[in-house]
Amino acid sequence: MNTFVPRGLADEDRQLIRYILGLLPEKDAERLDEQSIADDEVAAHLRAVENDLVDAYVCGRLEGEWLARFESWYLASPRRRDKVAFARQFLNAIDRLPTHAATDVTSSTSFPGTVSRRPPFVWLASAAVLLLMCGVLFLQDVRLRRGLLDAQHDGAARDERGRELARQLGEQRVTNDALRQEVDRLRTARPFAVVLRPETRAAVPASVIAVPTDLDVVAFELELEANDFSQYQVALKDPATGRIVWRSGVVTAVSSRRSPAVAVTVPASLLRPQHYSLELSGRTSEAFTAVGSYAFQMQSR
Amino acid sequence: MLSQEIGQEEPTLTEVAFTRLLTWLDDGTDSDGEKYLEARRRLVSYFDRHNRPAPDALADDTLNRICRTLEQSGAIATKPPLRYCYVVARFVLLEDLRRERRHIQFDDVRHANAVTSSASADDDAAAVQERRLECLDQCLRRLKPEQQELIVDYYGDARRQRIDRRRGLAARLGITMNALSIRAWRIRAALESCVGACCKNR
Repeated sequence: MNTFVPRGLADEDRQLIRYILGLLPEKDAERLDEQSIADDEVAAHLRAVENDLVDAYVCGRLEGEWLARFESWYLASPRRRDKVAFARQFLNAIDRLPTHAATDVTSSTSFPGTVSRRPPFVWLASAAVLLLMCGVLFLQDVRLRRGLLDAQHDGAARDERGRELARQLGEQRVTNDALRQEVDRLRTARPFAVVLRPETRAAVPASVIAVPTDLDVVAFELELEANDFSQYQVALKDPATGRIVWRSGVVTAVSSRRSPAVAVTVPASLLRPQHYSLELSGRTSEAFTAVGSYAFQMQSR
Repeated sequence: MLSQEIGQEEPTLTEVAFTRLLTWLDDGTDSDGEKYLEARRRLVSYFDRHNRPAPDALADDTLNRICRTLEQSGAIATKPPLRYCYVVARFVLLEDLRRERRHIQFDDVRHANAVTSSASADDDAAAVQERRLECLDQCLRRLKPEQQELIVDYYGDARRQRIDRRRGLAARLGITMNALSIRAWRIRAALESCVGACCKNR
């Protein structure tokens, strides 16, 4: 077990830990006070260092001055004590979760030149495991195909679609705490689904949507010509002013239907009787790229 | 934020004033309220690091004051907006410290390991603990598989040095260590707030 000690850390991390523990001279602490609010990079780094410090305490890896100061200073705040309590449960829960098999980077991205460095029995064992996995996957594939055919016959695909929508709602709830309460409300709301197709060059009139007055949310399903991205985002735009009225979290496409589609739910209260467009963008490694536009017109509720 | 009071402040704000605050914090972008939430989080942490007993209320007081300044003067020249937030927060902190000195604190002993000896208190604590664990499991189940993988790789096995594992993870994802730490923190923070909300609702 490694001890969380000053000598093993970068200077910047040590400085931040001393700041968190109230050990910095006033002048330095004031500078970090300002940066912790005004500087995005410092704020993010500070949070990461604080989490690691708390985790180290929970795991019994703090020693000496830091341990003493942690107990006398850091734990003096109820809010920070809550943080420690959460860390204790969080780390226990994390250790119960299955470890990701691809954690070993060298094995997942090995180059031809590295092959000979491995002992032969490792490769033999790997080959055996792979063979076994292939067999299991093949059996699963056969079973899944059979299940899929059955599902197509008895209309279970619709249930799957419903589950997928519910799952996406659940995921958004966790990934964006700012929208947590809103999503809670959405989950209990009665759904109203609209399927939209991307705008083409042909002059096709926009879909006209009439939403019942008692609905809280409107579910949109944006059909894709091709599912080229692993993640998407949708923005509701007022074409008259160019203003973005609402923006979704990051979502993935669903391909259980005839063509892939992105599903989002928009609070009905945002929709007034006018023209709108849903702007779909796909996520690349660095940014979002425009994918398509889905125009529609709201009727009076 | 619209209803909390601290000290002598008058917190009543109009929706227009609040929207103006959001726009000012966004500083030309459209963060959908995220900048406000982040600013508030940072302010709460700032006041908490100074061991103030009501960090949330002080953060709200800071933002309320900025709201009122925006309302009265129409604009704030200081850039970026969060730097101005710090300036105001510093005043709020000093005032709170002064206020505290004026009032004798009889119950200021806040010990980290305070233990209540009564059996009922122990039972309550155990029940709370149990509830939190159930909520955590529930919230963990809502994570996407890739999010679960990320936090297991990032935070898992905390008894050992994590740095090499994290470097490997960042390399695998093709992102910097900084970006990785932000990603991991977001998931952890979302879980923490999910657990908080879940416990309140039970």
